[in-house]
Amino acid sequence: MPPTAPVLACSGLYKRYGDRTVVDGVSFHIDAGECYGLLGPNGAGKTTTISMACGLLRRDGGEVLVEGRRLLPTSVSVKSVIGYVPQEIALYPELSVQDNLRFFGRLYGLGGRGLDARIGSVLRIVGLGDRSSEKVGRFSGGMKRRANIAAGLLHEPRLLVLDEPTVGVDPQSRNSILETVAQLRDTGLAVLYTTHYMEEAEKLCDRIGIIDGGNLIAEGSRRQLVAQVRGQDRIRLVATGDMESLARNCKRIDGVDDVSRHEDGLDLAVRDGRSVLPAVVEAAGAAGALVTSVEVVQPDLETVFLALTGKELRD
Amino acid sequence: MKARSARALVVISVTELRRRLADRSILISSLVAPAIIAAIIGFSFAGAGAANHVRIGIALERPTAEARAVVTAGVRVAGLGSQVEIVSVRDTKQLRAEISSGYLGAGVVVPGGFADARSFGIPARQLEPGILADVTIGTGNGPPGARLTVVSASTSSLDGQMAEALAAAISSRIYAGALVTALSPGAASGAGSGAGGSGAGGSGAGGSGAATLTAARVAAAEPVPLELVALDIGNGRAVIGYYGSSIAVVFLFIGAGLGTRAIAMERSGGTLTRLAAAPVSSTLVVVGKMLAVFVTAIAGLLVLWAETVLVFGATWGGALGVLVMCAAATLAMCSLAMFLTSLARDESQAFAASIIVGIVLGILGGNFFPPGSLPGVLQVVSLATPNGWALVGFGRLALLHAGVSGVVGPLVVLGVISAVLVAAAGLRIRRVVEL
Repeated sequence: MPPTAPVLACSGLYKRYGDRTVVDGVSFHIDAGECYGLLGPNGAGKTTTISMACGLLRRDGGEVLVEGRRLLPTSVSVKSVIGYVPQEIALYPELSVQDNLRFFGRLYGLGGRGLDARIGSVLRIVGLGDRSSEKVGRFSGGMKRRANIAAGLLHEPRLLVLDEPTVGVDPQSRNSILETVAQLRDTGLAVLYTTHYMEEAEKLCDRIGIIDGGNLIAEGSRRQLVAQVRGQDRIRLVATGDMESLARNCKRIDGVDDVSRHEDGLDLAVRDGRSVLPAVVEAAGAAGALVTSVEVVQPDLETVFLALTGKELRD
Repeated sequence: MKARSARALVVISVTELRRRLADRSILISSLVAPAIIAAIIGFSFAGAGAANHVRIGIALERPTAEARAVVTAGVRVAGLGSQVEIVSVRDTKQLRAEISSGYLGAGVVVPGGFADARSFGIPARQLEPGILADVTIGTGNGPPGARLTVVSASTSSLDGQMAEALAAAISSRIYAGALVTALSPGAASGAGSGAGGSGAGGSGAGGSGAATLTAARVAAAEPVPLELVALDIGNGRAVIGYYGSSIAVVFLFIGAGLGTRAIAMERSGGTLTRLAAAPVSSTLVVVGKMLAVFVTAIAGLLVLWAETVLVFGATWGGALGVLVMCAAATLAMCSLAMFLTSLARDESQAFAASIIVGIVLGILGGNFFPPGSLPGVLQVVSLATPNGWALVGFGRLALLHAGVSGVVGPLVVLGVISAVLVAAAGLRIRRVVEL
């Protein structure tokens, strides 16, 4: 593998079902030790994209290189590089987690004491070290999710692909999963992480690709993505008094781009919330309005998504 | 196959079996269900119920005393057993009506003159088993070409075959006696001017002498060499074997269908996707799964066989032949189930397809009704079904006591059907595993 080759490089991925194009020219790459997030609402094409990236789904166009090697649906050896964690709990509920891992480990060519050691290791990583002999079917939702991740880590992959791994789990298990993934990334593992939870992408991912309608509409770090969106911070004022006068005063303030009314006060679109805030309070006093609450909202990926697509992430 | 692939194949199959053992489904499909089915079949056909009672009608177009004696002798020498009831009916019309109504399973029409002792010169008192060689048969008035007619819903049904055996026994005995008589010294002089019988007798007597006559006497005393004569209908053992295998083939398909449906369920459950993500080929995954389905299905079949044989004394035929047929039938049924699964979008479709195809094939192949009872076109169609050919093979083993060599045809056909279905499923195998 050339030293500069990314662990995963996808270019122009394209997939259609009948007349419907579900992934349209998606390109991205992931380096070692990097966590790349695919953020998008349900049905955006995230799972289809990573299915093609893992060689699980025949693509209608584009190319996938894993450590510089071309990945085809019929490829076998290249798949050893990838640890895939599907959205579903892809484990046999009637078997113990240990037996499940033993089975999947053997498919990756592991065996004997080495396999047993790896099973113990990955179960400890996901916090199930003392539950190895229990049947997966008896696990809670969060434990199943963690066991699901353990199966993807068993063969020590260099690329970990997680498809919405926190769907339907309690906050405690979600935090545990996110911490585990962050630790794995820090050990040098490349991670491809799909989610429709903005907070997860912000917290975990070094770079984020925003996908909607099968198109990768923006890509970059959180800071880069936010910078793409004009308007930036928002100030939400709750006040009583002469709102018309207050609105007029606020529009005159340098750094305020837009003012809109809401039921209890005003919403201001500003370039830098903290620097503009004193002038806003002063304007309220001048208008004779009584301010009861001020909230400065910094832009997030939700804002970015809204700005780019005109709809909310959870639509 | 590379060692790693072979190891992966074994791992997939063994894990599949372990799963079925863990959820106890293998115990139900391979042990409990076949045991219950075997018990039902055994008690149904081995008991004293009417299920193993065969009623055959005989219509004498000229019911003379001699004709009755001929038929009585034929019935006795046919050795059909106590479960076969012979009923005399008035004429052909009544015979057909009784068969249509279901009262009779089949019947034999004895035309006027065929069994008339005087037409053959047969003294009625001599028409007894074991003394047929002494019968003097003339050839003068027997209507040339007169034949016994077997009437049944289907000559390939069990009743029809029984009636055929009876007809054959009657006619064979008469002609055996005629042959011996014709070979006897002096027969030529006493034989009048008949055609076939005297001609043959004359030449035989002239050329063979006493030694030939002795040999002919011995041959005539032997049981009629008909395949159905060996049918031990009296205690229903072969019937259990026949119907046991018939029901078993349907059961086999259901088992295989459920097994392959489980594969479809894995697809929607996600585990098949995880297997596809592993460094093993899709073909290996599916073949490994199917191997477990095959083992489960054949285990059920063997349990059914063992119970009907050991508990109910059924006769399926030689063990080697049965084993080979079981393997071939299981392979064909698993291949068919796999093919159907490859066509289905999800487990619901796979399940529905298995049920519908199973019922249709069961009817066409003769698992529910003897194929002979179907219209002619459907009888031909039945030979396009794997279960139909499985029944042909099992039938030869159970009813005709054929060995492995006797079922080569069905084995080859089942093999070809399996190969075609596997190849067709193989074309869509990635679809089975793919998301």
